[in-house]
Amino acid sequence: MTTFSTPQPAVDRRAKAAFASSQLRWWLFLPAGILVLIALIGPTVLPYDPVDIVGVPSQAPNADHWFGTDQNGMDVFSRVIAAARTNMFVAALAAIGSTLIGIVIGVIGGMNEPVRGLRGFLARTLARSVEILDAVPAIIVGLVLVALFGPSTTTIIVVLIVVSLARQSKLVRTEVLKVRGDSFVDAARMAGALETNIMFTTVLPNSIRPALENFSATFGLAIIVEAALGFLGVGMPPPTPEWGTMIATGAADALNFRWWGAAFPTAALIVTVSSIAIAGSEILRKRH
Amino acid sequence: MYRPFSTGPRSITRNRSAKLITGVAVFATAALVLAGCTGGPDAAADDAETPDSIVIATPSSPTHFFYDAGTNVYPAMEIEMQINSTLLTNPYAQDEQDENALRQQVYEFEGALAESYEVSEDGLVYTFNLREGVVSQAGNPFTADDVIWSFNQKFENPTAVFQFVSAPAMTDPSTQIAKVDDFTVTMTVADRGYGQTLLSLLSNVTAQVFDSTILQENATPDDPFGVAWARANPTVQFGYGAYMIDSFTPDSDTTLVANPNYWGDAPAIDTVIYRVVADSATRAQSLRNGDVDIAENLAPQEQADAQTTGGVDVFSLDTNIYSFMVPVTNKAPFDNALVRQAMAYAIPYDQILDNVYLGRATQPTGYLDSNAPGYTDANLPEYAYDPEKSLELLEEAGYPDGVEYTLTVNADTPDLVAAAVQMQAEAADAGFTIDIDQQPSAAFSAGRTAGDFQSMLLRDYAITLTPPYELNLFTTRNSSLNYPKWEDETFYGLMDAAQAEGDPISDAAGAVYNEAEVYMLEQAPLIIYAQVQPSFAVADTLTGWAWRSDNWLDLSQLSYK
Repeated sequence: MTTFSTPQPAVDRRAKAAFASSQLRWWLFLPAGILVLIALIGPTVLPYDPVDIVGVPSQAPNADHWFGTDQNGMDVFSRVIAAARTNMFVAALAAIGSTLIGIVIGVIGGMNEPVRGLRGFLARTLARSVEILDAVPAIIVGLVLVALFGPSTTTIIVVLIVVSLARQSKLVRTEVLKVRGDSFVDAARMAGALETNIMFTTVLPNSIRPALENFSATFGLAIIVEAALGFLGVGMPPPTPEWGTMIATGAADALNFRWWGAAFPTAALIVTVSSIAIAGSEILRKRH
Repeated sequence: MYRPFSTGPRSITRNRSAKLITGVAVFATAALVLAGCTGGPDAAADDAETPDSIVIATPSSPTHFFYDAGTNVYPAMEIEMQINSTLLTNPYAQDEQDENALRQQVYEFEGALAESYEVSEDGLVYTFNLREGVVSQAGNPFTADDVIWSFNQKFENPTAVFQFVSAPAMTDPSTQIAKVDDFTVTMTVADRGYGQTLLSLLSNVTAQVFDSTILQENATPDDPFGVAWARANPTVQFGYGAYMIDSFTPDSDTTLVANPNYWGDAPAIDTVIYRVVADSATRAQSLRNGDVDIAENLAPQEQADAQTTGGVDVFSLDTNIYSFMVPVTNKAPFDNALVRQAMAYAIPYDQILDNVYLGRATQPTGYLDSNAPGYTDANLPEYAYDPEKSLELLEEAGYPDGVEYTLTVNADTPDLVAAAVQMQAEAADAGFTIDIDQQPSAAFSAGRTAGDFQSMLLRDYAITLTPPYELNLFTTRNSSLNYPKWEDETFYGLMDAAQAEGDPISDAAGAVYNEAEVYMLEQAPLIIYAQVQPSFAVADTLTGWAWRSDNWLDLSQLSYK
């Protein structure tokens, strides 16, 4: 037997100890928690109606308008806060929808792929279709769907579900392919359970954990894609407060040093996605 | 014991290689970025610095350069104006409002391809003496046959616009246009009152005359006028204009050079490059940076920013460009005239003029050109933002709880989108709940013509500034330009009465056209909220910018100071 040695530890001992700590670092959830709170109650305590013309357009931040006013004369602070509800609500719906649909597709596909005959062919076709969908950039899918069905809140939610479900489906499918051969599944079959029952009562509960752990990443992706569609002009109809649209309309002014219309929604977007990512990472760390 | 990591000589080499590769990649990326940032503008700067050439930043790319081939973008029509000629033209004079601008004298005419013209005593027959010795860009001599062919084509080719805008002055060229000899053509109108409109029509882009020789050479039974051939060959030359197309790269740029065969004075600017810059803020920035000499179609804020930077001229003068709301009258709720009138009192005019146009627009008193001889503004309705009046009218119309409708806007017109937002915010107090629907340009154009929308915002203008043309432009029965789908017999009767008065710019005719205008504004198939100033910004090294009724640049007038 050949012995190898390293002159120094591969990983710092203190880092290892921290990583292995069983305590949940609750403070990492604070930013996301505050954002959720803002999204829930923020629109009810705004200084101005976010879709009302309340001042001279393109005012710099001042005592009356903390984040200034946009090109239309709307209060940027009120719109940034109101957009938190818009963006996060739509992203949450999309993440939930894509996770649920992805789980169903992943379970059905994973259970039936190895099967011969028409059922297996359909399952394999479904799996390949999901892979193709995953390979197409999300923005392209979004633009095509919006072009077909027109920009509306419903269309945006559907777009976000479509671009996100592929990843969730593949995670579940991978787990199903591992679990389906386990002895407890065979035991359920020998006990006379129907294949459909086995799929959803035995295999599914043991296969969905990766998709649930990926929920926070899906949520963050949905926010980014939603904002990107808004930036490209195919998001929510005006003057719905939405970060991507606000960044797009503010970008032109930014070229002329009127930075506030684009800067504040950009900062809000970065903080939101980062906070969700941090919270999701902490959950993953705790689980593993 | 197995340990997964090794720090022996091989791993040290791998680490160094990885760092080297990373460093090379970063350097290469930085080099590419720097090259991308400096390549284009240097070339443009060279063009901008050449004394006899200019670069123009334009919003969209043409697809062809044959005006009578139909659907095209406005920048293409501007180029078509440079490469073609008409029988007559309107002279320029110093503008009274802006010392840096010339102004087209739309009620005066001078010879172009027709050296001169005479009018018969009864005012019905116009004789045009064509300019001799003119050759087209393709080298073919210009004769009366080109005039006859061009106008016959304009009526028999379904994509030509002239047939939709020429009535009642010209309705049948086969009977109204005659060749006397190779250099003499007559045009006959049914009523002496149509003469002014005829001359105006012959001076604008819809009446361009083309080289019939080359177009007929390329005609087929399926394409009897060579229209499809001209569309498929955008760099083909068949005009008599001051410029000709040197090169065309779709979605990139179009280069024009001075036409050596031009019948008029050679232009001072020899080469013009139209460069497509889709974003208006980027066009403005390019002008400020000196990358281009002219930026077209800028938003009012961008024009104001360009002026504060210095080195740029922005022109402040009255134009014929109107921003207006079109309540489509063949569908609810705007099939009710009271609802349309209520909407006219629900628009926040002053707020739009201040917040959207930053003072670069005014609320017009009416629809007709107020500078026209014979014009009167008597009895014109005065609309202002009046929510109470609007609510009263809605109640009278049977909508005591208000009205909800969709307002469609072209997403590529930021000032109209901004105006829609202003309307939505303020019309709510006047009983109107507005949902804004932004459509891409192509979808908007198709829906506008098909009458798919409940209402829409437009920015448009009448090229020919005579009362019959202006009032008929968006109201003619069965016309594709009748966006409000408004066909009103009372209005048509008033127009017939006005036309019977003869010369449309006489006081007598002006009084009757005023009645038609009053009626139209009261019925509100169009609700005009802004008369907009020019959207150009020009480097102050150039002179000769002229306002035209078609609102396009006339490159032949430009020169360096």
